[in-house]
Amino acid sequence: MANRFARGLLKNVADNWKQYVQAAVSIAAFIVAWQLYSTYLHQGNLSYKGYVPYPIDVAKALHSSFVHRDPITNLTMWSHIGASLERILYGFLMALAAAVPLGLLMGTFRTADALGRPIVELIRPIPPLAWIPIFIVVLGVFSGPVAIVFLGIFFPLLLNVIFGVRSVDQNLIDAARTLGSNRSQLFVKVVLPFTVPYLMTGISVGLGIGWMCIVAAEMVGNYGGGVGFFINDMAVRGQFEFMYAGMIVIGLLGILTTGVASAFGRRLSKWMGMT
Amino acid sequence: MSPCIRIAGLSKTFTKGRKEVKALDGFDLDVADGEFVCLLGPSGCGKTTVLRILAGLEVKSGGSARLHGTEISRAGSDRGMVFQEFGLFPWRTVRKNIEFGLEIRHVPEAGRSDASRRFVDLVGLKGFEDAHPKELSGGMKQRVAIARALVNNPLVLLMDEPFGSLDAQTRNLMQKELLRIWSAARKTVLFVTHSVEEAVFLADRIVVMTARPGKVRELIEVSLPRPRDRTSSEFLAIRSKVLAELEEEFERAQKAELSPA
Repeated sequence: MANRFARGLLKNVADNWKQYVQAAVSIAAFIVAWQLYSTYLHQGNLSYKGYVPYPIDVAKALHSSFVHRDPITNLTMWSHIGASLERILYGFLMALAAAVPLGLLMGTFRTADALGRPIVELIRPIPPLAWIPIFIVVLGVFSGPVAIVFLGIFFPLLLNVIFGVRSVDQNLIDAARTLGSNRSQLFVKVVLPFTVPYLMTGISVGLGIGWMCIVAAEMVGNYGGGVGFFINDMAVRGQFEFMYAGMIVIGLLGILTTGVASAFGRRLSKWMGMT
Repeated sequence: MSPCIRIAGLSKTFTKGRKEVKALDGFDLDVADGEFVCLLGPSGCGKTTVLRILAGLEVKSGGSARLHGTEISRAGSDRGMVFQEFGLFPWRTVRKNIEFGLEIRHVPEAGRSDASRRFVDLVGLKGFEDAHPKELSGGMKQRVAIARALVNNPLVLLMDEPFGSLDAQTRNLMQKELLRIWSAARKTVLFVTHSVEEAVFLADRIVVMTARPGKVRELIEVSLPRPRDRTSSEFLAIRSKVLAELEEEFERAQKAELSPA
C-alpha cells in the first residue's frame, strides 16, 4: 500500500517535473523578495520593522509552534489545528445535511424553488462574517464559529446541487422513462448519480470559503484554541513571527483540504465513468 | 387480429410562447407484427413526434395511437426506444446499462446477468461488458442502446435516427447488424430516418410523410429480398422513386413557405 503510494508519487513527480520546478522557482522568488524587503526595513532604525520579520525567524516560529507548548495558553499548533478542523468538520457536515436535500428539492420542484429562492437570494449576499457578532453572543464560542462555517459552505453546496439537478440530460430522462422508470426510480437512478460531480464541485468551493470563515470567527470568539485564535493572540502579544507562522498554517490547511476534496471528486467521477 | 400498431387521425400541436405549431395533422398508419417500417420525410415533418407519442414521451393532441388495441397514454417498457444521441448512462458500464430495465422491474441479480450476457452476445459486444460508454465508439454505443431496449422484451422497437451521428462506413455496418438482430429478435420496428438509402435498405415498407403538418403522403412497399444489394437496379429504382416523392414534397413545402399566407 505504502509502496504503491510512493510509486504513484514518484510517477507523478516524473510526469510533471516541469510544473514542480516552476512552482519551486516561484516560491523561492517570493522568499527572496521577502528577505530583501525585511533586510531593507531592518537596516534603518524604523519603528515598525518588527511587523515584517525575516523569513528564517518565521520558519523558526513555525517549527517551535508545533514542538513547544505556548507558555501562556499551554497549547501547541497541533491542538489549534485540531480545534479548527473540528469546527470545519461540524460546519461542513451540517451544511451537507441541509444543502443536499434542499438543493434536490429546489432543483426538482418549481414550487419548492419559487418558495425557497427568495430567502436564499436574500441571505446569500450577506457575508458569513457579518453574522459573527450575533452568533458568538447567541450560540457561544464553540457553536458560533461552527454556524458561521455552516453559512459559508451551505450556499455554494446548495447552488451547485440545484444546478446539477437542472443540468440532467433530457436524453437520459427520456431513455429511463422508455425503459419503464417511474418518477421515484428516475430520481434515484438518473438524477442522483448525475448530480454527484456537481456536489463535489460545491464541496471544493465550500471548503475554501469555510477556511476563511473559521479564521475570522475564531479571532472574535473561541474555545480551546484554533488557528484563527492563535493568529490573533500572537498579533496582540506582538509576536509577529508567530502570527505569520499561523497564517502559513491556515494557507497550507486550505490547500490540503480543497486538494483532498477535489482529488476525491475526480476519483469519484472517474470511478463512476463520468470523465 | 388487430395490427401491432394502429394510428388513426393522430395530431399534435406544440405551443411556443403564443404561437401554435401544428406538427402532425391526420396521420394514419397500421404496422403489422414483426414488420420493419421506416418513416421518411422532410426535416420538421413530425416523424420524431410520431415516435415520441408512441413511446409515451409526448402527449397527442388528437386522434388515436394504439398498441395491440390499447390506447397509448404513458411511457412503458412494452415499447423500447433508441435515440440518435444514444442516451446511455455514463456512470454505468455496458452491462449495467443493459440491465437498467431489469433493475427497474426488480428482476433478481441472477436473471439480470443471464439476460445481459445474452444481449451482449446478440449485439456483438462480448469483451466490453465492463467498459463505460465514454470508452466506446459511436457504433458500439448504439449497440448498447439497442441491447438495452431489447432486454425488456418490448412489443415494438422505436428508433429515432439511431445511426444519424455515425460515419458512413459504421452506418452501413450497423444497418446490416440491425437487420441481423431484428431477424433474431423478431420485433416490430418503427425507424425514423432522413436517409432514403437507409430506408430502402432496411424497410419492408416506407412511409413518406408530408411537410408540416405531417401526415402520410405515400406508402411504398419494398419487396426486395434481404440482404439487399445497394447497387442493384431494383434497389436503385425504388430509391429514385422514393427520392422523387420526397423532392416533390420538399418543393411543395418550400413554395408554401415562400408564398404569403
